[in-house]
Amino acid sequence: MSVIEAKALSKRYGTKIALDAVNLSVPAGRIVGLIGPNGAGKTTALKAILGLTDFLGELKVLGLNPHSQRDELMQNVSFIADVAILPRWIRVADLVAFTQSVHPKFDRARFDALINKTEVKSKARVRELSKGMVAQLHLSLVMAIDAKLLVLDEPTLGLDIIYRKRFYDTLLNDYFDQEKTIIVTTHQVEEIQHILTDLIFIQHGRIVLDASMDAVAERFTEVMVPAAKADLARALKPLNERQVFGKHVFLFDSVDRHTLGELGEINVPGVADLFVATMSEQAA
Amino acid sequence: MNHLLPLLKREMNEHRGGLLLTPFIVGGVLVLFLILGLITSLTLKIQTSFGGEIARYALQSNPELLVITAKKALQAFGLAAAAIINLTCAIVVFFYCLGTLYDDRRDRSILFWRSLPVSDALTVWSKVLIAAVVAPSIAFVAVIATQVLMWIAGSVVVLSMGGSLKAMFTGDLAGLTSVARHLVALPLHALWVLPLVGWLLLASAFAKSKPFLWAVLPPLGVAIADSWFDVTSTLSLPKNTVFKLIGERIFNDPLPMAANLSQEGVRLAGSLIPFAAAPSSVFSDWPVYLQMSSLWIGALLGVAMIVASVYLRRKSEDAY
Repeated sequence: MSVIEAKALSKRYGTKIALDAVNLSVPAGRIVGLIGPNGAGKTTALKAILGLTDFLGELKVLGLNPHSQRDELMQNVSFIADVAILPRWIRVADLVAFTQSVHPKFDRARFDALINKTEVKSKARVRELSKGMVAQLHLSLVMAIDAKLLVLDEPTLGLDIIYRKRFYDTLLNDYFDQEKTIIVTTHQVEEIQHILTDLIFIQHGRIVLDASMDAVAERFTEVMVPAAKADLARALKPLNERQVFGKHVFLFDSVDRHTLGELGEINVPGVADLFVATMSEQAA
Repeated sequence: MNHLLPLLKREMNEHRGGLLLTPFIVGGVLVLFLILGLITSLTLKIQTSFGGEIARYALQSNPELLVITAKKALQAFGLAAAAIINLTCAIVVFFYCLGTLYDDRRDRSILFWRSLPVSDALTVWSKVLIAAVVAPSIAFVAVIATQVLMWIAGSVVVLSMGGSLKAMFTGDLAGLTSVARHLVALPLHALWVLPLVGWLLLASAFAKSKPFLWAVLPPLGVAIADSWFDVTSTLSLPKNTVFKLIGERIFNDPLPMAANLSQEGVRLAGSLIPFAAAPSSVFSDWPVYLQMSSLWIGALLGVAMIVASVYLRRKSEDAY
């Protein structure tokens, strides 16, 4: 059974179309990167999945309608929205006690192990913590919940690179398993590409790419071409062209590797480059 | 349903100062005033007042009168303390209700709360419980604590003036009766304030900013329009219905707070017949209130507005 199954999922705010008949199917055991520019519909899609907004079309999350069966759904879904938004008045210890008392899937020992690696003190109030510490606290809470679906919307905003790296490593090694599904959005794509199993690009409310990382590596090829062969490469209709140290870097979609190998050095493109290329192609 | 207790605890955590400490602080201040008043009147011997000297002499020469007077004074003080504490509690609850479904939307922490498996309905009803039941019950405990301290202080004075301690705690125990009445009035109060609580929660859940104005301006606007254009009379209702309804709701509260207090005061001052002689008086408010159609209509309206608040909270997505 798919964790998320969307058919013609649509949402409009007034005249603005946020989601335009999106079809989506995410099986269990995946780490999906949902990538798109600001205002592309990422947040709206996540809101629909989390039952935070109504929508048109069909959407099932863990077999439930997220809007009408939200209370049931939240037993198995956890999320971090955008920026750390923990209540500022609460003490860390009270926040943990509350989460523990209302969430059947919250593992206290796990939380303690995670939080002990940080500087967060349990007697402190959230408003006394730095922004990074609030994010650490929130991430520790969420990772201690054994959810079937975890949605992370810009989870590492405000964190330094050391913690960001450690967070994604912990997520992959300690948290993730074949029963779980994780959806991540972030602008720092290159930091998460090594943990992703699937990639979804979204723009103007439409999905412009939905593929596994393996398929992406299969389909897209980056070629570094000397200037003399640049016109040959252009004839093969690259998605994108940029110049690095006097060489031309072309990105191709579904072009035979052998042919491209004759033009220059072949690489698997980074997600960030692929994203920029796909977005500019869509915009053109 | 097993989430209700953590929810109530959370509310108390967030509003510890207002809901828990304030009634006790107010009670403490009132006790302090009473003690200061007693000390001044005893040590200064009320030099300025010739009448005061006579009264003191009369009381000291007649221990029975002393006890009766002291008891009446303590009952009156106790009742006044109850009224002041309940009024303070009502003001705290007013602002609590206005903020409780608004503040977490403003600081976006609603997104954290809604990431937990707790239904919006239960969340809102836990807030209703705090406003209508928990807060007035805490105030009640504060009233008892205040009255006990007042009785201790009063008894010390009576003892020092030659009165009998035994007489203080036997015979006329109207103070106790009024405490019992206060206690049994708590459920009535909860039903009685539901429409007010519902309205404030509705404003709190609805307002994009300034819930206070959303709560106060619409009824005020209707009332003003009413007095200018006679709106309600076209609906064959008496003039100024809105003011009247709100006024009645506030002043007829079953807790010792407002209108009933003045009646109680008159009864206390005007008659020497102890309340204890009429045991039915503890529950005497019940039939009166339960027969009022306005109690039930108000409670139903309150529930409707609370349900609407739950709906608005479910719909509130602008925070994300």
